[in-house]
Amino acid sequence: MRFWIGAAFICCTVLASAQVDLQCPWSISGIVLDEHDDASLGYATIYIKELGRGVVSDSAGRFLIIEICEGIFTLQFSHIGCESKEQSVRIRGHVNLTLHLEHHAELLETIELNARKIREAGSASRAELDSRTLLRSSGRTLGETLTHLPGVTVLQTGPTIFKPVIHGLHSNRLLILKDGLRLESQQWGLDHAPEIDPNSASKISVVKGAAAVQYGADAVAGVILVETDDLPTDQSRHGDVRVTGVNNGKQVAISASLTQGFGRGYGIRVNAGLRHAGDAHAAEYLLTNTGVSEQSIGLDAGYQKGLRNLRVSYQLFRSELGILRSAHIGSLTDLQDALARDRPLIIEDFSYRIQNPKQQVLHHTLRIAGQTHFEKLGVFTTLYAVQWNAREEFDIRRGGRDDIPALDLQLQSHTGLLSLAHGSPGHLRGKVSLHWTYQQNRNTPGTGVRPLIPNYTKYAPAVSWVEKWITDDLEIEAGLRYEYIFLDVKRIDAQNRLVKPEFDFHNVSASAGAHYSVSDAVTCFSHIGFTHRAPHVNELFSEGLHHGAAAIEEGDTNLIPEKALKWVTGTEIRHTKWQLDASIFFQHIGDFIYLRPTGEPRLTIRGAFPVFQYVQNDVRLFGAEGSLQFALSKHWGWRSEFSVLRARNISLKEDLIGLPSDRMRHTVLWNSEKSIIDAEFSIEYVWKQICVPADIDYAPPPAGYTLVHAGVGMDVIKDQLHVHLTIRNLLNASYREYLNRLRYYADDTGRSIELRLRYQF
Amino acid sequence: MQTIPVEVLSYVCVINSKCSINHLTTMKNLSIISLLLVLTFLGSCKTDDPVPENPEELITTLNMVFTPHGGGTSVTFQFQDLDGDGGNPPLITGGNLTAQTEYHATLVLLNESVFPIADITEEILDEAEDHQFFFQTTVLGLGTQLLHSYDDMDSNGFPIGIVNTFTTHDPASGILIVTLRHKPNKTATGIGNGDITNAGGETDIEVEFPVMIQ
Repeated sequence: MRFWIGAAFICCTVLASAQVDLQCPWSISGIVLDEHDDASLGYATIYIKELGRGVVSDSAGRFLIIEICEGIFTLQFSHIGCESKEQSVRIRGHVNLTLHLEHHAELLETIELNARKIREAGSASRAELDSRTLLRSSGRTLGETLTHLPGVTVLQTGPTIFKPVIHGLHSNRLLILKDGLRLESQQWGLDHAPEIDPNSASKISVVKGAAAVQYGADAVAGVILVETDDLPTDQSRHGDVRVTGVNNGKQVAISASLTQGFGRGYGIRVNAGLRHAGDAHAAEYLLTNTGVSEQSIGLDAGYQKGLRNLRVSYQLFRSELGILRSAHIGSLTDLQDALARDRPLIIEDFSYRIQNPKQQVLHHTLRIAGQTHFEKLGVFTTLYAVQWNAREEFDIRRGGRDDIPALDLQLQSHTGLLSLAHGSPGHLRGKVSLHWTYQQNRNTPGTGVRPLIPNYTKYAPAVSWVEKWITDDLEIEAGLRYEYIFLDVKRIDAQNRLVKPEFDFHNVSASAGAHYSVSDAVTCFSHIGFTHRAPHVNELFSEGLHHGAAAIEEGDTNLIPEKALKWVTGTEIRHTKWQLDASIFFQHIGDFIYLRPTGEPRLTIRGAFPVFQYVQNDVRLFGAEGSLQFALSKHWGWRSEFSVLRARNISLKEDLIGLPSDRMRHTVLWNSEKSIIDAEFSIEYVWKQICVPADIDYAPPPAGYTLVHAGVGMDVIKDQLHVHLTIRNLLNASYREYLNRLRYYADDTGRSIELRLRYQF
Repeated sequence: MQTIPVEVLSYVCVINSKCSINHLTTMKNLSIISLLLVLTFLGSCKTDDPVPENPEELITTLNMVFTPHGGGTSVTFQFQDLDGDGGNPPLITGGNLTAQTEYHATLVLLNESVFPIADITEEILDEAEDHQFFFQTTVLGLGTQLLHSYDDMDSNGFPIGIVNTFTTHDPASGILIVTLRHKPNKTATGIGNGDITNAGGETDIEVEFPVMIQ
C-alpha cells in the first residue's frame, strides 16, 4: 500500500510541454528558402516538435528560436503553398540553418497525411496515440497499445492474442493500414491478432469516423493507421533502442532502429525487434502455456527530392503464440466442466516453452512506392506491394500428430495503387485513386483436418475519389469509392468432390463530413458515411467444429453484402487550462452478418454441439466517448476518459452478443520541475456487460472490475535516456473481461511490473 | 513452404537501376513497372486445385462387443458416423443385456472414412498412457444394476478401458455413456476406479447407448 501512495506522484504531459526551460542557453537561427530559386520565404512556420513551440520567419525568411537545450530535435517547417518538411538537428551550441521548401501549391498526397497537416491537433474523428504512450507501450501488442484511446477496446484470447475493436466491431469490419498499405492477413479469425510490430511505428492513430470508408469498403468500424517516420534526406544518423522487462511472464523485449541519412536525399532505416515471454500470471495462479516468442526485422531505403520520392521497404514479422492449455477442449461436457471450475484444470510450473495449442505466424511485406509531381496535374503516387502471410495452428492431437498443423494457410496478396492528387489554386484539394488487389489463399495439404476456410482467389479492383474544400475555419470533405470483388473459390465438399463456386460483389462507399472551427479553441465536426461490405469467405464457407469454442460453425453461400451507415459527430475544445474531446456515433447496419445458434444441436462422436450459422439481421449501434483533461496546478493534472456503447438487433428485438461493456478511466498526473520526472496514477472501471441476448452464451458475462495502474518515468539524460516504471493491476485484482475469449477458463492477467529503458541518439 | 518469387526481387533491382540517382523524373516508368509486376504475377499463378484431406484422426465408429463370460450370444453396441462431424447424423445402436450375467466387453474404434479402414484402437493402445475410457450410467438406477471394472492397464499400471468386465444385476433400463479422454490425469483421485470427475483432459469420444437389462 505504501508503494502506491508513493507512486501517486504524477505527470501532466500538457503542462510539461508548456514549460520553458530557462537553463537552456542555445538557439537556432536561420533562413527559409525556396528550393527552386533560393528566393526567401517570408512568414514560414518553424516548429520544434519535441518542445511544442515554434516561430514564424520574418518577411525575409529569417527566424530565431531561443532557449533551447542540448539534444536532438525535429524541426518542422512549412509555408503556405509548400509541402511541410521535417529535419532533425542536434543542438550542442548555437545553430544556423538554411531550410529549403518546395514552393508549390500544397498538394494532397494522401488523405491521411493531409488531414494531419491541416489539423495538427488531430482531426477529431482521428485519434492519435501520443509519443509518450507509444514509448510506454513498448513490448506490448498493437491491440493493447490502442486501448489507450477511448472507444477502442480489444478482443482477447488470453494474455497473448489481442485484436483491436472499434465501436464494438472488429475483424472483417476493421482495416489496418501500415504506411498506407492495407494489412492482408487472416483477419477473419477471432483469435488472429494483427501481424504488426507496434514498436516499429512512430505514429499510431485511429479513424473512428465515417470518413474511414474512403480507405476501403470493409472499414465499417474504422481504420487503424500505423505509420513510420519519413527517411532522412540530409546527412544524419539516429538510433533508438528500447528495452522492456516485465515480471509477469518474465518478459523481455528489445527493439532497435538505426536511421542513416546519406545526404542528397538518400536515407535508410534498419529495425529489429525481439519479444520473449513465458507463462503469464493471473492474480492467483499461472496461466500455463501463454508464452510468446516474436521477432521482427525491417529494412527501408528511400530517396527524396522535393515532391519526388521513391521508397523500398521490406518487413518481416514472426510470432509464436501459446494458447492457455486448459482452454483446449474436446466437447461441450469439457466446456461445462471448465465453467464449473473456479481455476483452470492444468496449472504447471513457470516455463518459457510454448506447447500446443499454439499459433505460428509469419508475415512478409515487400513494398515499393514512388511519388512524382507533374506541373499541371498534381502529385502522382504509385505503390506496389506483396504480402505473404503464413499461418499455422497446432492442436493437441493423437498419434504423434502434434507437429502437424491442424490449420495451415498461406495467403499471398498483391496490391497496386495509382493515385493522382491535385491541389487547385483555390481551396479545393482532391485525389483520384485506382486500387488493385489480387489475393490467393491456399490451404497447405496434409493437415489431416478438413480446412476451416477453402482455397480462393480474389480480384478486387477499386476506384476512389475524394475532394476536400478547405478554408480557415471550415473543412468540407466528400468521398466516393467503388470496388468490384470477384471470388473464385475451390473447395472439397462433404462428398469429397471438387467444387468451384464463383461470386461477384459490388461495394459502393460514400462519405461526407465537415469540420468547423467555431473559435481558436473550439472545433466541431460531423461525418456521415455509407458502405457495402461483401461477405468474407469465412462467412460464406466456414464449416466444422471450432475447437476451443465448442461449437459447429456454418457459413452460408447466400449471404449478401452488409450495408452500413455511420454518423459521427463531436467537438474538440482546447482551452489553456483544460481540453475536452467528446463524440457520439450512430450506426445502422442492414444485413449485418453474424453467428447465431440454430437451436438444434448436432450429434457427433464427441457428444452434441450447438450449431452456429452465419445469418443476417439489421442492427443498430450507438455510443459516446470522450476525454476531459485539465491542469490543476503547475505540477498536477487530471484526465478522465469514458466510453459507452449500445447495440441492438432490431430485426429480432434483442441485444447483440460480444460487445464491449461501458468503461471509464481517471488519471492523476504529476510532473517535476522541468518535467524530468513524471508520474501518473490511474483507476480504470469496467462495468459488467448487462446488454446481452438471453440464453445464447455458455456463461453469463463476468462481473465488472476495477483496475489500478501507476507509472513513473524519468529523463536520465534529457532526450537521450529515459527510464519508465509501470505497474499494471497494482492491487493484483482477480477479474475476467467479457471480451476475453478465455474468460470461460481462467482469470485475466494479474499484477505486472514493467520497466522500460529507451536510449536514442 | 512458398517463398517470395524471384520476380519481385529482380524487379526491385530493375527499379533501382532505372531510378538511380537523378533519374527519378522517369517515375512514370515506375508505375508501368508496377503494373507489369502485377500482370506477371497474374500470369504466373498456377491454379492448383485443393485435394481432399485424409482425416486420419477421425473416429467414425465405436463398436462395443459384450460377450457373456460363460459363452453365449454376444451383443454389439455401435456408434457410426461415416461422414464425420456434420453431414448425415450418426447411427446409434444400443442393446439388451441379460440380467445376472458377467460380460466381457471389448471396444473397437475404427475410421471407416478411409480406405483401407483404419483401426484406431491400435493408435489408442500405442498411446495408452494418454488415454482412458470411462463408463457412466444414467436413468432408472442402471448404475447399481450395471457394474463396470477395467481389465487392462497401461505401462504405468493405470487402466485404459479397451477391455472391460460388465456385471448385470436386476432388470433395468437407461443410458450407458462411453467417454474417451485424451491426456487425462490418470493419477487423480478416483480415476483408477473409473470415476471421471477429476479426469480432465479432452474428450475424444462421448457416446450414449440405450441399454436394457432384462
